[in-house]
Amino acid sequence: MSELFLWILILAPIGAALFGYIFRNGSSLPHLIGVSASLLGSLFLFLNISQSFSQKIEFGGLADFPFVVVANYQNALLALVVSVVALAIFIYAKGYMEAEKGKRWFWPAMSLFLAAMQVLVMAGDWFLFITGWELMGLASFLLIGTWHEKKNARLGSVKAFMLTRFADMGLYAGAFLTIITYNQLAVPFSVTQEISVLAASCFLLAVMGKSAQLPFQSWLSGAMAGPTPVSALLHSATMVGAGALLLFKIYPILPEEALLYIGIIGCLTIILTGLTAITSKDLKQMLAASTSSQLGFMLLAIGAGFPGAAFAHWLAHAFMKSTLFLGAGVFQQGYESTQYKKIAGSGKQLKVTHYTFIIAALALTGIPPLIGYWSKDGILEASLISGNWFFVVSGVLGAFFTASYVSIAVRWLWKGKAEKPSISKKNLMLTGIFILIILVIAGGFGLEPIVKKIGYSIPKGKWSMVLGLVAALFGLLTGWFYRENWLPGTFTKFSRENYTLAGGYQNLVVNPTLKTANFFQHIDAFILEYIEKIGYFGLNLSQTIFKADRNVKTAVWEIGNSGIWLSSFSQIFDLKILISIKTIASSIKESGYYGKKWQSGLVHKELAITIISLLILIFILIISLIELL
Amino acid sequence: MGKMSEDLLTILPQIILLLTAMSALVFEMLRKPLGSLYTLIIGMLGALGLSIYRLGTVKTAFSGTFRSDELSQWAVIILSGAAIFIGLLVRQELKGTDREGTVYSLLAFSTLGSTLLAGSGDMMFLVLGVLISSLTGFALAAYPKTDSATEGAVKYFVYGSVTGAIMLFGLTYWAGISGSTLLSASENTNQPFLMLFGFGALIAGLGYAASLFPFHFWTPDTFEGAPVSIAAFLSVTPKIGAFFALAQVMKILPQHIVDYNLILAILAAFSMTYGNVVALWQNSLIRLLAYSTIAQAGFFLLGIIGINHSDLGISSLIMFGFAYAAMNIGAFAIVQQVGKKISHISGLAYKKPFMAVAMTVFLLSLVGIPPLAGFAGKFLLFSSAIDSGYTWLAVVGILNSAISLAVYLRIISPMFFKKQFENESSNQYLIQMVYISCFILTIGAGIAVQVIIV
Repeated sequence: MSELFLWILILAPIGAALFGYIFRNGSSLPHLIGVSASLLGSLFLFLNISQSFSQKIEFGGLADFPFVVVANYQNALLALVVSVVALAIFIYAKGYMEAEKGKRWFWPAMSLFLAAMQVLVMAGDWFLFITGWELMGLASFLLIGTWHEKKNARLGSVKAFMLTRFADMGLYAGAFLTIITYNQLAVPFSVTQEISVLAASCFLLAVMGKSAQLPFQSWLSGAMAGPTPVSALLHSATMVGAGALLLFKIYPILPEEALLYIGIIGCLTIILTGLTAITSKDLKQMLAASTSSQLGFMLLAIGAGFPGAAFAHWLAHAFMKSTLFLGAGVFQQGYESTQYKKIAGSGKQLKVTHYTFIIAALALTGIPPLIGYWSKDGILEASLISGNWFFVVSGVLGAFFTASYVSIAVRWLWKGKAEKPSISKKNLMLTGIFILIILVIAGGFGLEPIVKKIGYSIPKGKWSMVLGLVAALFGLLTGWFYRENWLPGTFTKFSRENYTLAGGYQNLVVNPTLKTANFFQHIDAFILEYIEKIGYFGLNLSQTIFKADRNVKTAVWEIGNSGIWLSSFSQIFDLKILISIKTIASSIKESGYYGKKWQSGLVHKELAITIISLLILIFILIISLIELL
Repeated sequence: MGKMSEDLLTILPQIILLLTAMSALVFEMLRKPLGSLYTLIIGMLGALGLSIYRLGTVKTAFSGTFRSDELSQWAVIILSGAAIFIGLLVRQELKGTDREGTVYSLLAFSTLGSTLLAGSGDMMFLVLGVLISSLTGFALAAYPKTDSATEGAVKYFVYGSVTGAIMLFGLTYWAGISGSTLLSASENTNQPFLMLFGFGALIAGLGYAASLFPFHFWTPDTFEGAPVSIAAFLSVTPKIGAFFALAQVMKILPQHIVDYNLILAILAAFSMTYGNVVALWQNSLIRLLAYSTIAQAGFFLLGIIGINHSDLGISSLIMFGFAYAAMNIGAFAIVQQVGKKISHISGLAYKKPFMAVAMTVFLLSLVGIPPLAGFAGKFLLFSSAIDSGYTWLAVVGILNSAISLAVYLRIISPMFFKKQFENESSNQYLIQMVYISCFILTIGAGIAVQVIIV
């Protein structure tokens, strides 16, 4: 039975995507059905699966390397979270996209994205995992470029695609190393053997790309060019979450050293993207930076050795961040922008949205009893337990930054005056938000048991709670009173533009890439030139051969002609021979005729011939005798 | 046993032939021609059996004047057999005629003469043999007493007289040089011109008997006039006797004084060529075959040329003699059955297919086509000539074989390609017996040539 649900949860969005792709009518209905089916599938699967139960389904593939999907508690839960968030976002998107262009492109891509995520979640072998991973990369590219007529949408989608693709090389390398280490295609569960640090580093590269960790965080801000539901989907439970999900999957086989690197990357990301979020002048950009920062918390927790805390934060973040994004989308719909200045004071006009936004923001800050408190507390405690002061400082600082930037956003929305906007289909959007806000408020209480049911544990401690709350409150206050001149202008700009060191993405990635491409193009042209020369040489050669051929042909022709001439000559000769033979024959016959004449019948004549002949004979003999003597 | 009786035992086959002839004459006197025939057959079989028994022994009789060697023994074998066949043919053709028995007697006498020739070691035997065979031949040819028969017989007689006289004249010189009539006595002479003259005279005499060009002129007329069976006899027995005699002479004659082979080669070439080209013009089967025998005489000379130079000389002569006798008698037998003109034989294949096939076999054997007896004989003859250094003669012989094919195809072609068969003669039992026997011998000898060549 659970197998059926499993297939429904994966295949329903795929079917919806295909339907949308084939019929191209931009209708949202099949996709809503698809996501609902996926949700139901994952829900029933979740309910059917007990803690200890895990079902491995093998199918297709090569003889020794079957495809594997694993229906265990963790995967089912992840699938459920993904589909819940997706459903909320889909409902919201129906409203959001009502008046927008690009629905034909948007909806199938959304379903494809969801399907890819579900495949990724359920994957039990590297082949399916990479399939999901790549499909998601493709879908994100399509979604960010929904409004591809806009330049920044195009650039954003290309940037996201390029950066994640670059990082994806790490996944391939890591998967390859893992496969040869374990000699199996399946993602390993047991801890019989740890993978090498190199393989772990490769995986870390993939995680950094997908989860927008330093230094790949800039693709997220570019991705904001897409529709807001896309941002909500990408930046909450799915795309960025996929990186963390990879870490959850390989956590049992990670070596000790790799955990440290993961933690350090996480810490750096928390601090630097936190600052970006603070210095940001745009609500969505702030949220994007915040996403990187929150994912950094997860890496920190894993680095500290507590994947349970990371997992909890993954779940919490999925709900909180999608709520925030959806709220931002409502402001965007109302004021055609998400820049703080444009939407200043809009919270007073869009009160419901504003309140949900505030709740989600507080949750993100880690205010109890909202869901964010439980996970962030766990992470701080994990960093304390790890005893690594860098982790602790980063965690506390991160919490402080988080509180600060949400506070800044809330203040922008709260303060100032704004006109009343007209938003069509606002109710649908709000429905989506409500689904999520309920989970944000109440989810915290269920978080710990669920995580424990999977087998993880969330550490808890008084110090972490105090530190977290102090940091959060201090941060909120700081954020509320924050002014741009508090920080040096150059730093603000530097931070806001995602630390474009030495030209940033443009100089570090684009230009080298272009130069490399240019270099290869030169080599290419060089090779091409030589190939062309070789070609011309071949052409000349063939022309020469052709001429030689022609000469040979002429020669053969002449030989043939001479043969014909010879044969005609010999024919004449033949004729001559024939005539000669005839002549000889007739002469023989004629001689017979003359010989016959001798036969006169007259004895005396004949006797005379005889005697004469005899004398001639004797004469001949005498001559020969004389010679002899 | 005394010397005399030993000599008589040596020539016992010849004595048997003489007694047969005498007995046959006695039966004729008693008007019992069939008795004569039986006497002939029994006597011939006796001589034949005795000679076969004696094969491999070499003896001379009467102080070396007669030789009982391979040649003379085989001569008795071949000629006795031939005489039996001819006797049967004569019986068929001349049955009931007046003096039928004398024919059998004469056949025996002629055979005796030829066998004496074949064994002669003395000039007198040569003369004696030629005279016996030619005189009896004259009598046989004249037997029907018709104009043409008489004409032919007279020609034969005149020719025989002249050439015989020349031979006798020439041989006297030989005898005069050596002081002896023994052929072996001429070894120590130093008179090449006289030797040469004597040899020329000898060739004239033997060449007449063998119907060798240019001593052949009697042949067509005599054959045409004589009964077919007699023509068959004249074409075989004197010829083989004469050639075997010539072989005996050549064996003894000192080769270092005169190159006799040159004259033989010239005669062979002319005889072969003349016989074949003239045969092309003949419309009479019997004349055609007459000229054919002239041509075949030329082939015999090839063996004689090689007699001192090649191991194959004697073998080839015996083989070709045997083959010649078989195929020639066979061909004449069929001619006797169908008629003397070429038109008589046309369409034979449709009425008497086996006879036509047999005739074809005889003619092809005369051409020298394998695996028939004629081929074996000619092959050995050519080999012998080439061994002796007369390659050009062998080439002439081979070319003549080609021409002879044209000659014989003039008979074969109408047999198979003309449908009307004019001569509605009934089957003649004795002829059938003869030609079938010849047919078997022709093919058998061709295949079993190794048995005959000792």
